[in-house]
Amino acid sequence: MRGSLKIIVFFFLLIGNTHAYRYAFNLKGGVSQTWAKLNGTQGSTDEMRGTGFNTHFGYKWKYFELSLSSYIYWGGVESLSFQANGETITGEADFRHVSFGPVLRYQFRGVQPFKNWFLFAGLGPVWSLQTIKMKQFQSTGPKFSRNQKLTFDSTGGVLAIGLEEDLTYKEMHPVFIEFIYSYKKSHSLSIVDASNFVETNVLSTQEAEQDLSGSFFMLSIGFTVF
Amino acid sequence: MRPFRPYLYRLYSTFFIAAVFLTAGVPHVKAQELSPKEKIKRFKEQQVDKKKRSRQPVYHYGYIDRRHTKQESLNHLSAIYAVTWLAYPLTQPDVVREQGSWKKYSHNFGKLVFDRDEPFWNWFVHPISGSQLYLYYRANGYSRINSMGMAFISSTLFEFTVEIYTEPASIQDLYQTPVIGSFLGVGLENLSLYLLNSGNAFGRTIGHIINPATLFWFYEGKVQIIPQTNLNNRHGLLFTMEF
Repeated sequence: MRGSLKIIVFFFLLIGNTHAYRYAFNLKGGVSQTWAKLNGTQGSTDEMRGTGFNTHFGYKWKYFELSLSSYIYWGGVESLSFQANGETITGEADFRHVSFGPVLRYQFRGVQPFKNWFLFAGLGPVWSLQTIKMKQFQSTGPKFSRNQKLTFDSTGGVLAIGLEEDLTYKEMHPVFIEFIYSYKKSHSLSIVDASNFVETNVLSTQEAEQDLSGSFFMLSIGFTVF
Repeated sequence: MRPFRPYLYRLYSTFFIAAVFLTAGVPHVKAQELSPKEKIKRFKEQQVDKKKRSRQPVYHYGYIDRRHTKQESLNHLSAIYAVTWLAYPLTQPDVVREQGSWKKYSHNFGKLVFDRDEPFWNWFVHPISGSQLYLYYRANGYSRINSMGMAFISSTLFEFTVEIYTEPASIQDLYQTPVIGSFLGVGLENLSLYLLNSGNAFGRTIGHIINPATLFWFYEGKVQIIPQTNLNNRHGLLFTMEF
């Protein structure tokens, strides 16, 4: 009887000690799938699907976590129009996206749909560079060529909601599943000579207020690396 | 034009004959149903067998995390900073000669932009440099997260005070060099340790190539384990570390 009591006390002590890691830096990473509805110039719209990865370097307090997050993905558009150097360019293109920004997440301790999995929500501003490399296109002028690419500087915001494992040590590599909504709109466009692989040559930069905008929906799955 | 179908047919026939030949060599018996107890027993036996059959390396390679003084960390940062001033013109002489100037340096100082480089540079070359920075600090006894932090400081110093001789500091490089570099670094760390501890010369060579920091005098994780015995009743292990 005394022996079993000791085991029960030990068990409860063990339960009491198994709270998750706190007050520590961490690095997380994962893979993602993105769906986006993009708006180009002249009322053109297109849908984009992209695949990529994301990384988060952050610090975790008790329930809050602030991370510097980056989302990278590759996709394609089929019939989006852009305005560059007075020319309208329409066609099929490769789409590359990279974004950076601080994201503040909060863990809701009361919502635990599965054992050790807790709900969290986050938000933050985002700065992004979107690159359009035209493949098949039509241009209203002679200036734009196949060797050039369009790069849009955009700003926006992200909203994230997801589930993350809360484990005793980060070395246990807690897993997260995150659904992200973000909206971005361009503020400047640079036309870049992409003929030289080694050397980047920016040919021109112009204001591009909302020349490329859109809503991005992303599903990301990853884990804490260390 | 070379006919494609006969070529495929020949390829398939060769593969089929080879498969039949190889399968014939495998002794086939009636499939065994193992009880859970038997499975555990076999698993343990196989583990012992595997250990017995593998080579025992002279040195054991690993990472031993420890605390560092501020002075020590400053020395490391200074050393890496000095190396970047030498390595940049040596690795990219054309870019430095054709695009670099002190006038550009003062113009670019404090400037931060999105660069328009091809993905090869941002998502491959920079992370590789970052991974080697990470592995340098790991070799010097820094924990994984501290190695990433130190790599972050080193690459930031490079971006803001060295590379601006030719181009302004880039947001992608600032983030991706240490962060994606550390991801890559963890992978290289694990793979190199597996190869270095394999006990064979080929594994060791490849291990040192992908993780060169393990070759230098500053690497703290090289340990020699020598079994000790008096051939009677006293047995032990002698650990020897190189500094």
